[in-house]
Amino acid sequence: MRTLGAASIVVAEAIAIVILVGRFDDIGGWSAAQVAWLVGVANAGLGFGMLVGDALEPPAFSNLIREGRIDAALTRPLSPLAWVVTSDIQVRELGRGFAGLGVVAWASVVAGADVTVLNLVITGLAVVATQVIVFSILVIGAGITMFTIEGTELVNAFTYGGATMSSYPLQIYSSAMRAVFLYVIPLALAIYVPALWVLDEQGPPGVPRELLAATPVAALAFAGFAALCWRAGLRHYESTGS
Amino acid sequence: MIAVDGLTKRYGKADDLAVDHVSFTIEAGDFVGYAGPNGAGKSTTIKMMTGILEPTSGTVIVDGLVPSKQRRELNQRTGVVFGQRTQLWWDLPLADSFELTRRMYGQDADEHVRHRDRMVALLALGPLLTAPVRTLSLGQRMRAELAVAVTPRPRVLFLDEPTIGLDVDAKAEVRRFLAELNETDGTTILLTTHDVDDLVALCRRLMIIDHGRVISDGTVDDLRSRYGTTRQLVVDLVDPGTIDVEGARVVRQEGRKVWMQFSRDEITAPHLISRVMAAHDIIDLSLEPPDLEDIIRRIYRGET
Repeated sequence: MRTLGAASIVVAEAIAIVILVGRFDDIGGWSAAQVAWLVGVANAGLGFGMLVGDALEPPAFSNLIREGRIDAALTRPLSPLAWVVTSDIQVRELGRGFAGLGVVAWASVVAGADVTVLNLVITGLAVVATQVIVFSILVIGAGITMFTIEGTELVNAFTYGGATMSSYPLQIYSSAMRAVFLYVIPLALAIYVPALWVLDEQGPPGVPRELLAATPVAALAFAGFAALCWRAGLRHYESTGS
Repeated sequence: MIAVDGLTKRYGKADDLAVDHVSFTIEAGDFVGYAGPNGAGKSTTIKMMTGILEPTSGTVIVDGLVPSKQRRELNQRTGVVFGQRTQLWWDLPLADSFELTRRMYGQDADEHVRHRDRMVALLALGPLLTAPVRTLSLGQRMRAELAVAVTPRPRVLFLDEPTIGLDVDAKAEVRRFLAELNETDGTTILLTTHDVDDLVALCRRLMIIDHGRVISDGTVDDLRSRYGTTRQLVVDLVDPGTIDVEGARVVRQEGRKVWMQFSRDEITAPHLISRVMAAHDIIDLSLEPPDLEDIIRRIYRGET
């Protein structure tokens, strides 16, 4: 049920945007189908990222700490991150992921994207990079939760909020916001820049299509930063009373 | 097997040290009790020895490894059972917890089955293997926790209050199992507990910690002879009546049975017995060893 629910949210979101764009003819010069492509990739990446990282969501992870389950993980010959991640896999996020892929396929056809191997590879790269970034945000949040114990909802602002903001073309944002999504939390590199290739568009000044080369690097660098946060959290981890 | 030197832990910016320059060594095959009031630093010490917590300063070496740096390698050779936390898979049959743990430790299947069957037999878990863990009683679950933890053949076993909340029979079963494991397999065991009977029944050595410091370290007998200066003589009289003997104080009387307390420093046991026998006709007498619980309580209070 919840899988279907999560999937229907994505479809509803895509329809809402198509209607919205229909009222204004376009958003930042992009058609409804082109914007829907962004919605699809953002949700596919979000869904698959949350599928892996659900247990790291602040309230859930905070509970793991309180229940002493992090202690238990740390007494096993395992990576505690792998242990936490595999301890709770929410199938409902799979619904969001596949619905996102469905929207991408539909949007690609309506937007008239060429079905080439290159475009398929770029689309795949976009989804995987988004997934890596979303998962990394959750890992960073978990690292912070090991300091604060109290889980912070701020993390959701970056995962869900980031995905929502990445669902619109980058040109509608101020240059400061563009810089954040390109160079701090590189969701624009993961979603918008690949879209420029697949949908055959040009980005605003300062956002050339050639940035695509930076997409995998940025996703991996972001993941590396997340790994450092996780380790800092573990070193600081203070367990709880017996 | 375990070498702890100047081990210190401060939580956050707290003024007090949870563990304050603790040093000790534990030899392979030892069975050591680690006692102390709540909040004394017992669990914190164990968490540093297992790699859960990083020490603020000082060193721990367990089986040649530094727990906080070589945690995974160390976990391969140690077992940990926390009385109030489960290491089992709550919704799965107990047998699955054995199998998942085997895979986690990468234990050879034949070896695993051999040890598992032995542990299952020792702890009478056979009929419970198909039951989901959540349906087990506390006593059954504790036995299961132990069996699962020791099946990968740890060289060191850390136990944090393994008998907490158990009834008398379940406690006895857990104790029998631990004694057997220590004797037959030579597993080094470090046990924290509030249950003095656990310590008396199992531990060759007893460390007492309070306010983050080791305040006493020795065998149970040491402790008794060092601190147990008051003992009890219990006498059954032929005729009901009271006893009045110099050097001893009557603390309790029930019909013909009289409990007397005396101090080792004032009178020796044979001397007291001869005085009692000179003045009264008695059916039976027994001399009770100093009460360890009382000794530990006095050590906590700093009265010794």
